[in-house]
Amino acid sequence: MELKRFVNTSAEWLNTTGAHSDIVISTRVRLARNIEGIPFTNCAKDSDLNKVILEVKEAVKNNSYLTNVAMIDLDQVNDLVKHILVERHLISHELAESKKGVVFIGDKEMVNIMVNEEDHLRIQAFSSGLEPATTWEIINKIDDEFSKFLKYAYLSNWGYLTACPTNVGTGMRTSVMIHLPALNITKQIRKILHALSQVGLAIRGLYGEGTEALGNFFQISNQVTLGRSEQEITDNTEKITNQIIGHEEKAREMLMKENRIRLEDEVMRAYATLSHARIITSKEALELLSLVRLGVGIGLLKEVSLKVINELLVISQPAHIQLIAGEILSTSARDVKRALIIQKKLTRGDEKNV
Amino acid sequence: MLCDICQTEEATIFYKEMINNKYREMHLCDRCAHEQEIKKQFPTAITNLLSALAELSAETLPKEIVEEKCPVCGSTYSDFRERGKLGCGQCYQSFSEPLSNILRKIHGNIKHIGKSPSKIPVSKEISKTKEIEVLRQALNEAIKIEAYEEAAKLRDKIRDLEKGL
Repeated sequence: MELKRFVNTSAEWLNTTGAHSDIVISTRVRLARNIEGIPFTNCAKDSDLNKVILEVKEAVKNNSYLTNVAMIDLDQVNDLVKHILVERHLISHELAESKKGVVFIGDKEMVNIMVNEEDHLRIQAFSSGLEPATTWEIINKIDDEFSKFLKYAYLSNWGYLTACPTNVGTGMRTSVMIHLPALNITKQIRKILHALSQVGLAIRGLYGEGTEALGNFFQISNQVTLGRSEQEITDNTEKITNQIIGHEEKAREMLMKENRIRLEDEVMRAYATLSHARIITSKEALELLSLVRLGVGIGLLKEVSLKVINELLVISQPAHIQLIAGEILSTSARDVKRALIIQKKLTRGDEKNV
Repeated sequence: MLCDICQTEEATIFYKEMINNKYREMHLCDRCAHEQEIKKQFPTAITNLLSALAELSAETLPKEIVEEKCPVCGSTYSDFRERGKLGCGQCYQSFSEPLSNILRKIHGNIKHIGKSPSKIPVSKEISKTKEIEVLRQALNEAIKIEAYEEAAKLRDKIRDLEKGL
């Protein structure tokens, strides 16, 4: 696998072309599927898992909606590559640690298929901004095409059968990656998060279950997968996310009206640190990028684009810093390199990372 | 605050224990907590929630059903309670009775109404009407922000869909 492909390219879903891109980074829809007659991965023998890989490989080859697909066998790559894939949201922590894990990555990283994670297949599609309906449309076609070549484990009363009963039915999870800094500054975030849990949506940090919501970046996703159609799930996610966007917009307006100079000061200080500091930890980078992202979204900062900030959110993470540096670095050496990479990216904009 | 064990990740879990009158406090990151098997004891961990739910329904069941093995993968219902995961597709039929209780608790529902692998959507007409509705919203948005090129594309898409109805 060519590592280089990750150095100067970013996933297309970071490019801010989707709806509400100032607040919503991306929408992801994933479908959990298993092949009939083969035990789920937690109970499968190595020979079963190999069989799954072979069958999915064949199905990918025959899927007309998948082009330029790269296959990465996770048993064959080192930890750095696994971390890069996790940071790019191409694989989960769980897949990185599972045996016989494989990922198929589609063109421009807009779709990917994890094989032998908790379920045999985890098909994912990404879009920029808030686009649940179109993302579902894309993944639905890929899934239909797969079902011509793979016999899915399915029961008419319970739908697609999954290793964990929390995913049974549609096997579908729609997640929206959302940036809510103003709701945090105005101290409304807890109330909103609580309200979300009341309507059956889960809120997590950037990297899914058990991760922290650093920099006010959150993932909102549906919990219920049985007894609701895919359209209902996407509609509901879209409707509720739109309400949260409305609250965030109001909070941003309020901050601008009541405390503009204070907000401007914080945004500019964050921008100044990112552009001139010599040592930046990944946590600090995330927090400062969050403030700068707010500044750009609100129109206080014109020197940098949202796209550059979205890309920085990915490349300022530990594995990407080492990828760009071309060598394994200690934490302190990474912090120095990170400051340099951010500085370059902020001044050069969309150009290359090295 | 950094994790007491690895000293690199941010601590997200505050753990206290009292064993034989010895009191211990730790600040741990997610990964280290997991390795220490501490997370398992938290009621919020989903597997734990599942086994708690499973235990609830198991109480109402006779013992022999609980220990029945799935003929395909050999898993028992107690295996599921331990792991929070089923062994294979057949398990859903092997343990259908206790599972329907669990599914109702998780999803509030036990009837699938989404798509099926046979490629026949529940109702093509309904999904099309919904799609048109979504496109209309997008069209309004596009007009609002004066993205006329995008708006024209959306308008054509809506027309095409309406023809098909």
